[in-house]
Amino acid sequence: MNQKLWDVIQLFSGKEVIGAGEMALARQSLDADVFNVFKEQVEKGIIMKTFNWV
Amino acid sequence: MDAKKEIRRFLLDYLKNSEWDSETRHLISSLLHGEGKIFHESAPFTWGEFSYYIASVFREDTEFHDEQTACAGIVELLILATDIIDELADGDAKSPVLSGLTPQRTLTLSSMLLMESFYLILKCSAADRLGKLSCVIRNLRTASIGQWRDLSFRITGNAPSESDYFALTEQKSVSLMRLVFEMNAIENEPVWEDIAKYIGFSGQLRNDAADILRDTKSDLINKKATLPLIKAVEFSKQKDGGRLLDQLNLLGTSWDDSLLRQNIRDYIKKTGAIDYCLILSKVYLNRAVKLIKKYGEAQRDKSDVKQLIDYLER
Repeated sequence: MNQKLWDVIQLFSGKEVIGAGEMALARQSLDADVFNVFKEQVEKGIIMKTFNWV
Repeated sequence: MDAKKEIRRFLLDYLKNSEWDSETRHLISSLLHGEGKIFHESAPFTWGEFSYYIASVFREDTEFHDEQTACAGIVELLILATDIIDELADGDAKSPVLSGLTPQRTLTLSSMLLMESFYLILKCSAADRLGKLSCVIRNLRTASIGQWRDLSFRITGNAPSESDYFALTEQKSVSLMRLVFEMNAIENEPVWEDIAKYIGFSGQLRNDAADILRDTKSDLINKKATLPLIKAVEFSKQKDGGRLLDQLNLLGTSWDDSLLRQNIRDYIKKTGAIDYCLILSKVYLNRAVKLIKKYGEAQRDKSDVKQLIDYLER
């Protein structure tokens, strides 16, 4: 589960707005319990502080 | 029943009647008032309370109650002994109490606390004294091997991997969690192994995510291979040819590297490594809570389960 979570965090890096499509992708990639915590973090706006390498 | 009050009362009584001289009693009392300790007013987590609440859930036999408080007090003393050694080994900014002591006195104080804890286990256990003592020694032995390995667990050219990190955490931290369960004679419940592991992982990840960002901790200066740094280095190797490693190698080469430390910390945050650790920490905590709830379904009194979960989640 850990590698998938790391990959999803990288996928979201630098995004100003997280769309429904991206969240659906995260839901698909992560185990349900990991996704729930991930979603909480996104809602707090913490994930978006990461680098934008895109 | 207020766990904190009960444990404090046990320790105060014990200190008052112990064979230690007044200076030693004062020193130990001051250390037990430090951050994260049982007499600290706002400690969010203490090992003593954790031991107490775990026993409330997994030991429903009423005759265990007095021993439960003693056990919690002993756990508090044991962890204090290991914390003193950790602080000395890490070279962290010393607590005000320890900063007044020479290394020789600090080491001897830790050793004394350890011996006193062993003595107390024999004195306060109603049954299976040797069994308890042997479980404590077994887990402390595992933890000490982990702590020894931890001293050289650093980011170098060949950085440790995430699985190395979890293996070491299991050795040095989860073993202390196991000690708490086994001290309370809970080894007959198969579920406790996973609960101990998840809580141990969760706590270690949360501490490491916080400590890499704090100047009062030496994790960054010592390039300790904690998960936030392992992931940030992994990121840097993939994205910018390992610029972070170059920056880490500059640490300690100038008389004031506060700006460098700040830049490195900003970089680590931006890689997502802190988020990653905090999310994993919460995931592991949730898994432990889920197992505790499941275990509690069969219990008559659900209030102890609720109390333990509230304590872990606060």
